[in-house]
Amino acid sequence: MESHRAELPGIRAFVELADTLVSDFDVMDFLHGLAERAVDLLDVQASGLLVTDQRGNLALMAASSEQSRLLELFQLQNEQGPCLDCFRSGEAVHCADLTGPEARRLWGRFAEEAVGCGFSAVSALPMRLRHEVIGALNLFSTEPGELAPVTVELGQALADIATIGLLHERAVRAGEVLAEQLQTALTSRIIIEQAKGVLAERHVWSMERAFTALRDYARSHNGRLTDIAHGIVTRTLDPGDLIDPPDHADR
Amino acid sequence: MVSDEQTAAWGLIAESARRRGGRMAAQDVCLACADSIAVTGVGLSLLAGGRLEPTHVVGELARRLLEAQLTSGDGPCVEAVTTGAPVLAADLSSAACGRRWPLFTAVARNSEVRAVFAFPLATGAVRVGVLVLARARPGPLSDVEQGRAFFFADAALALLLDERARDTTVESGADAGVLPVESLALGAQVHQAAGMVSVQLDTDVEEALVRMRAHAFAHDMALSEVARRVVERALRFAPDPLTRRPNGRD
Repeated sequence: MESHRAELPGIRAFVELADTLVSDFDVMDFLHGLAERAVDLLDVQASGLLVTDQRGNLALMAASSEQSRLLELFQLQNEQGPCLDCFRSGEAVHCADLTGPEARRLWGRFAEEAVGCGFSAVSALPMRLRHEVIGALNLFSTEPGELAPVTVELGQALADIATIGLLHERAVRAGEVLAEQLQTALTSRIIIEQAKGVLAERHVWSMERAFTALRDYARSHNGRLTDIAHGIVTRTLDPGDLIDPPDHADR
Repeated sequence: MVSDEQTAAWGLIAESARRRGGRMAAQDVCLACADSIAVTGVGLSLLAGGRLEPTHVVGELARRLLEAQLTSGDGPCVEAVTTGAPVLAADLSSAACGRRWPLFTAVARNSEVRAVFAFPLATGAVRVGVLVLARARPGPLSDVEQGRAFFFADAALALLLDERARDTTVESGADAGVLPVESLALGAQVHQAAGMVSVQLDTDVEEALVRMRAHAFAHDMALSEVARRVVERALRFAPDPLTRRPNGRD
């Protein structure tokens, strides 16, 4: 019964997060909400999320408080800390006592800074999809001691949700970029055909001759065919500038 | 989460690609779609510069439908891509369709197209185009057929974007990033003619296209027929004497 009651707010949080995934999705809002819910749900005092950008560099994406924001940035700047170890290994990192010898040995400057901020224990959970690690969720406690296994499990589930949200957003954006490239490629073809028509009418050329003139002009002026064609169609380039092309032997 | 139905549909697409001897492409989706849904024709149009450009066509009926869409500039496809929702016109000769798309239904009335089902292609917030099914008899799609059409629209989009992702990694040179002329399912002449008419009228290509459309409509011709005559120099457009400026641009 006890554990059942503890699970209810967790479920509510997951429902809310799932909701932000399908409605107007803003990735920064989503991760910020996740960092705040991690604090509420996991009984820690602060949280932070470090995530890779498209080029693989880690960056701070969200933090529940100013202190955790500073500590995440401190890890990035000094290239040491539990979040970075977790990201590099893909495994969870737990430190029950930041004043202990192991913390000082592994990340001396970070441990000192965290204790200075009033924290006594820290955990880092990987954001992982199959073989890809895309970031880590940091949890800071003011009391020393290990997180309960059920808390770690719930925290890992939150990190997994963050992973899904991020990858979803990246996939959508990649699709949009490709769709725009497709439309540009088709529009370019249309503009080239229009430009051939403009030249064919203006110079009384055949379409083939018009295309050769267009291509030769682009080559000799180091321009892209599409840009030259666009100039002809919009008359920012005078069709009269493209004079009768000489016959090329390399055709 | 892939159903048996979808596996079978991908099988049809793959089979079509094998017969063509190429990689799976949007053309195979159109062929598989025509095979597995009881329709006479299938077409695909993509948005380019805010207008729908027909890029794939299977069957003469679909060609006529896309032609009517191009000539009129409205119709179920245009509505589907504008609203982002499927448009199901089970009987084009109905009064409701006539009111909804007056130009399109007027142009399409000689085309033998009796029913049109248009399914939008979109990724994220970007609207990409429309998969359209044409029938020579009136009547709605069944629920199963509609489900298949949704699947084929998604498959077409996936293959189009996949193709683009491959292209951008290998292309180089002056015409990098330009689709081949074969991508224009109704041919290049409409655009060539628009360029020619823009010189004849001393106007932009948009205005030239409007005038070509009006001519097609007034003379009960397809736009591509008007375009063919312009390109063959059998038809010229003269500036409208009422709007003609004393001095054209130089």
